Amino acid sequence: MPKQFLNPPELGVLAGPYSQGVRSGNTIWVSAQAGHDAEGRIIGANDPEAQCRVIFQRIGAVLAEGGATPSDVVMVRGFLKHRDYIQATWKVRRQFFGEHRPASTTFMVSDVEPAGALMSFEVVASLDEPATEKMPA
Amino acid sequence: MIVAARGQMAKQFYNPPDVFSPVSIYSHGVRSGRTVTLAGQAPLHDDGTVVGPGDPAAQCRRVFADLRKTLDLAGATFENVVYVRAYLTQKAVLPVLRRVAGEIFGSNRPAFTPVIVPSVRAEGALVEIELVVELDP
Repeated sequence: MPKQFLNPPELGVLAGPYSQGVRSGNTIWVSAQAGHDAEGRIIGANDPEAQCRVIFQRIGAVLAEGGATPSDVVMVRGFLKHRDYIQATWKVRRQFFGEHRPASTTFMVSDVEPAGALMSFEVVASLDEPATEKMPA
Repeated sequence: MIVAARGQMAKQFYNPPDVFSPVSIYSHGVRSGRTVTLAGQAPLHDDGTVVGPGDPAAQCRRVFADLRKTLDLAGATFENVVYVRAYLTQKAVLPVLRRVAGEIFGSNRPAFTPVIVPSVRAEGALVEIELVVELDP
């Protein structure tokens, strides 16, 4: 199966030669997502929970475009401007992942793109079904 | 070709002789299956000094030039890249990186995560980039 570029239209266009996500074989790489709308406007200024909710909505949309669900995620990386936001991210992630428990690393960074973003998250997902395409009957 | 048990190819390690390594404890690229993971590449001269101090465009170009040498050893090109993670010491480097990356990736649209950090390992470096590559079947 050729590499698929995952760019759900409702997420807006990413500046630069990048995709919101890429599926290659059974692996899906989701670009770092921040809490903004399709036009790049921050949703939930200074509200870590609101931003995190948008982030995981966006991540969910990219996963869906690649045929994956939250339970296919194997790795989560969180980039936070301040450690005070961690509790809010746990709350949102618990709702997003349910009982699923991917590997995870969170760390503090000196800034996040775009301006006004308090955090960003990237994920890697791995689909269980084989990548081989079915031949038509 | 080195063949391991169960018909799997053993891991391959790629270290271009003309790409500077600060210490011989890691490889610039490792292939496992069809996936090649590249180490964070800083903009360094052969003697380890930083390329273009204060010049983000020169630094980004050098980083991609050195990444290309590792890709070459793996039989890959920038078209095979599925993931780009860029560590930047200033947000202002991001538009410069976007422009240089636009010249590098051709029609490819990899996933992308910028991580803005207080500093990177190489003193004076404004950018360090790591890649994940999926080789063609």
